[in-house]
Amino acid sequence: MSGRNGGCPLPEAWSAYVDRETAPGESLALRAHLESCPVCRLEVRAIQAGRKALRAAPVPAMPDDLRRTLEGMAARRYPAPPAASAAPWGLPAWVRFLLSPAVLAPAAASALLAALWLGRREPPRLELAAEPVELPMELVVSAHNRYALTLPLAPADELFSEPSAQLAGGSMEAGDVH
Amino acid sequence: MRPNGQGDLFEDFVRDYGERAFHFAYRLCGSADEAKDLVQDAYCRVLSNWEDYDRSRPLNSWFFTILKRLFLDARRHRDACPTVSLDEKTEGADEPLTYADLLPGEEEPLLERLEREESGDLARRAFDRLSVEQRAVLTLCDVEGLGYEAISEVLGIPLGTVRSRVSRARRDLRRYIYRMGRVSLTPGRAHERP
Repeated sequence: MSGRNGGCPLPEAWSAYVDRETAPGESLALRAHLESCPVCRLEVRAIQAGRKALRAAPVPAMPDDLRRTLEGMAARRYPAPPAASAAPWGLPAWVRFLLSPAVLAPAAASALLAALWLGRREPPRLELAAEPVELPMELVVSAHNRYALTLPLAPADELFSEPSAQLAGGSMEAGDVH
Repeated sequence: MRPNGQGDLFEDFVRDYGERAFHFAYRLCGSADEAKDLVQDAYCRVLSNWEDYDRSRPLNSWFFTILKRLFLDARRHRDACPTVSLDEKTEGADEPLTYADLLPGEEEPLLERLEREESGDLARRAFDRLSVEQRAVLTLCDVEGLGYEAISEVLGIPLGTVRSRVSRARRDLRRYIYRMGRVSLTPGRAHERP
């Protein structure tokens, strides 16, 4: 790293030194050199002064129309709920959460899954259905997976990658259905 | 519905980072109008790729990367359809830094002025003379305070190149400040353009 004045480090080393981007060993050597070299002290001063001047360089303020445009972009992506949807009597937040689609949809899916499963174990009930409803297994598993992902720390083994194999093997019990 | 508070994060990003983004873009372009378009395009890009954002990375680094790419794309497009600006650098403006420019005895008076008085305008004009790559690296390093590793990621260049480019940009900036300062930093002419 020695440079222009015989044993003096190159300016690149001082630049990195000012930025605290030198390796520990290099920093020690540079610091030791700095104590005895007025030329390099001047180099470091010049780097620091240049940085300070650059930070002080004037830049125009952000235009108001740009600010409004950006805020509009954020608002359009996630629009605020319309005023009418906010219950005037002020339902508690947890009630609103329970009534939200994110909770109701998985609950409905799991209820359907449970009904299908119970129905399978009780053949007479199936006979009551005038027209048996056939749901593709992928749809049922997809609904289950969506619900499982809403649970905290849902273990990966609850997401059935091979549903037919697991069902055929009899590994799925009623208690597995959440 | 705002999935996992992502909407809030984006709104915070717009509110807290818009000004800095605009300043970064302005330093790159040197034009408020161009910077405005650039920031708007960058936020559009961020918004459309929001789901792909890797949360383990700093948001500002990701944003700078997008903004820098858009800027370079725009420049490439502009270069493909060249126009002549009256502010274009003249031939010979980028000659290499001479050893005499760096002599401590020559530099110290200007250095003292830089440390002592308002030198922002001079620095601004000198900064505009740097290349795009130099402006980008100096803005990220000296203004935004990013480390070399983050700069390396944003600009897509090796760590060693960041180190040498930062150093070279600082020396060129100093050279331009020095040359302009000889003209404009005389008593009573502090804000006169060379």
